[in-house]
Amino acid sequence: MNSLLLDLLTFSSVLSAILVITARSPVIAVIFLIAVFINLAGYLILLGINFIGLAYIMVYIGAIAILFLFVIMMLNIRLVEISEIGNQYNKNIPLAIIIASVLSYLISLNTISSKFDQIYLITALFDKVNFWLAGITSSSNSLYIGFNSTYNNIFVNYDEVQVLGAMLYSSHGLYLVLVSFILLLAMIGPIIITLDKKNSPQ
Amino acid sequence: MLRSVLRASAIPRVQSRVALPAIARSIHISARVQAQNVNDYRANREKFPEDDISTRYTEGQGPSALDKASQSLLLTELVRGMWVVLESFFRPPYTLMYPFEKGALSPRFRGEHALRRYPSGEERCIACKLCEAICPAQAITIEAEPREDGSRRTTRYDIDMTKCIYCGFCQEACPVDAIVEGPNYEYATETHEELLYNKEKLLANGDKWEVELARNLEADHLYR
Amino acid sequence: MTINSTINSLLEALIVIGPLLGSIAYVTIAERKIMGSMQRRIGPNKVGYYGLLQAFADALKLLVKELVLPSNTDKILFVLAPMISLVCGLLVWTLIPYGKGLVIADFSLGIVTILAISSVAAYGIILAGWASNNKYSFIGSLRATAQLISYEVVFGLIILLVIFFVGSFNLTTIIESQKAIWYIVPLFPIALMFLIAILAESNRAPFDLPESESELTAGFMTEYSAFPFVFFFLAEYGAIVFLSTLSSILFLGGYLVPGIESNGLMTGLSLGFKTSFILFLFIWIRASFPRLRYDQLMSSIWSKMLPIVIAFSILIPCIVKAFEIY
Repeated sequence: MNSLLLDLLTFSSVLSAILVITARSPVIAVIFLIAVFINLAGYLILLGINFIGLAYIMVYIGAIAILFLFVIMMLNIRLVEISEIGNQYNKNIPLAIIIASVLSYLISLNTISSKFDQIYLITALFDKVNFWLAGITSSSNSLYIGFNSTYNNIFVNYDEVQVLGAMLYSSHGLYLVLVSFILLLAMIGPIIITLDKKNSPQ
Repeated sequence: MLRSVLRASAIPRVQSRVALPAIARSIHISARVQAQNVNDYRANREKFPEDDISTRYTEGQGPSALDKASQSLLLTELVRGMWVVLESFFRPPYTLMYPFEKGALSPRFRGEHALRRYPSGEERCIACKLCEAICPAQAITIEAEPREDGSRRTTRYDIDMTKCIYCGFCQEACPVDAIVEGPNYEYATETHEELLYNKEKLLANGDKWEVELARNLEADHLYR
Repeated sequence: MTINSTINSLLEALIVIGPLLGSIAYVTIAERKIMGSMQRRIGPNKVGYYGLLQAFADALKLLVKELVLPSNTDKILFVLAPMISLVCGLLVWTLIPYGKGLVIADFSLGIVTILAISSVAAYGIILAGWASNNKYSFIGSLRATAQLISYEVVFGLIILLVIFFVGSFNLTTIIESQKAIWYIVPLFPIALMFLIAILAESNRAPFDLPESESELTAGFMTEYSAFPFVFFFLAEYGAIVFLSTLSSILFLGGYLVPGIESNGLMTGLSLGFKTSFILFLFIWIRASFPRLRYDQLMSSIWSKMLPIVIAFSILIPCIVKAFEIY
């Protein structure tokens, strides 16, 4: 039952991702983007990664996609202009192919060498990225242990939030610092853009 | 003598106030100022300048930050407003249960029209057409002919009640108090045609409401 | 076995949704009667004894009305929007504990789920405004969305403060941890701010700009009639009842009765009484205050409430850490 639902969610997320690109009206495209997010969140929740799934809904659907929708609704875009610009997007196809092939290579590296497990797949991807960025090698795939509910929960029963917090503030602290820098940049950027140097009091 | 006694009693108060922490002090001062009336306040300002809240404000930094913070955090002004609303929650309503209860009407109330008669039964209207001329909505239509006895009477006196704006000019213009606006306001109908009044309807109205109409005119005659 | 459990869960859903719809009906009557009394009027008093059946008469009137789908609208989204609102409005009730263990889904991430569902519910409003193809609807929905996003920040931060005391996202745990003291006492000004935030979240007066009648006719609901309107109406009042329940859970000890170890009917009555009190507060505030201007609304959240809440979210953990309570 669960795996059937997972397959269904995978299929519908891919379908709505295709519809995002092919939809003629930008508002409908954003609505399909939201459908992608909802499918992914459902997928994560069904896998047992509840907190990440809910955070997905809160952050991506509740904040980011709403802002997308908000801005696109107010822009009053003409459909004709979009279809004219749309042809120019074709020249980005090689880039898309490169990104897609690299990503699928990354995934296949792990899936072929070890067992086919959907949680393992995601967490192994995280670990690979870890290794490249921070040089952290984890032979035991620590996130996997944290999220896999069947793993030795006879003795210890962790909340996902606790696991996430423990990971975020210990072994993966570097990412927290990096993210905070990015957020700081995101805060300073708008201030600099909107700063009116000519009319400022100085 | 009295002044020195006051002074003596004031000194320990002032001293104790200095010793109090800021929060108690601000509460104490505001309570004092609220409790006194203006005269007390003025007298005190001369006697104890260090107590004066207005000089404190001009010299210092205004109401204390703690005061302001507690006022805004505890929403005191909003709560005071809500209290006023809650007071009227427990008071009886003003509602008139309309079809069963009715409010009082002024003698000058301008409701449904009526044509009056003299006590002899003779109709008052002399077909001078002043009302027709003054009617701003042009709701009145009059046709007149001499009667067999030679007196000038209307053969037709129509008011389109759906045109009428109830300004009362017809009543003001009438030299013989024939056309009046009575106290009746409950004459809603289901069709438009029923509101196109003719002379018979207006005279019938006059007969029906004559007591009230006469009383209203009597009550208002001093001011006309 | 599976059929049995399916019937069980269906029954559970009905047991929650049926009284919920009844309570929504009576909240509307209570609102009209209380507002009437506060404005020295009588309010509805004709349908049923003391006007108690007025809501059902209104619902019947709405249901037999014609369903109007305006031309030039996006038909699918136009019908979908009220459904999103209503489904999200009803879904959150699965997480509310009515007593110790009396909860459909005793989920460890209960309050996060509530936040997630309430953020999805905003789509009902924004899609309704866009799909109606009407300037009033559109402006109403834009206002509603901006307001919801803004006030969700404060809403989430205050919930975070409560979670800091509890150490769990589970609603039952949050209630059980208030046995010693209700959180309204240590978090008093924060609780007032939470009340303001939920007023804004549920688009109630004095924050009812999305449907301010004098400017926008009915805001995002302008084009709606009959069934879809009933859906919006139920979702709106359901949200009001839900947010009052949530604030009584977070700050007034939920189903706990002070001083008595209670279970069964007593717990449900306790939760209901507290919720009714906050609902009365909602109506009282609506009768008391005029509508805010839009810039006042935005400045009151971003430049007044948010700094205070952020200051408290630093201060309170510091105090708790200093006394080593947690």
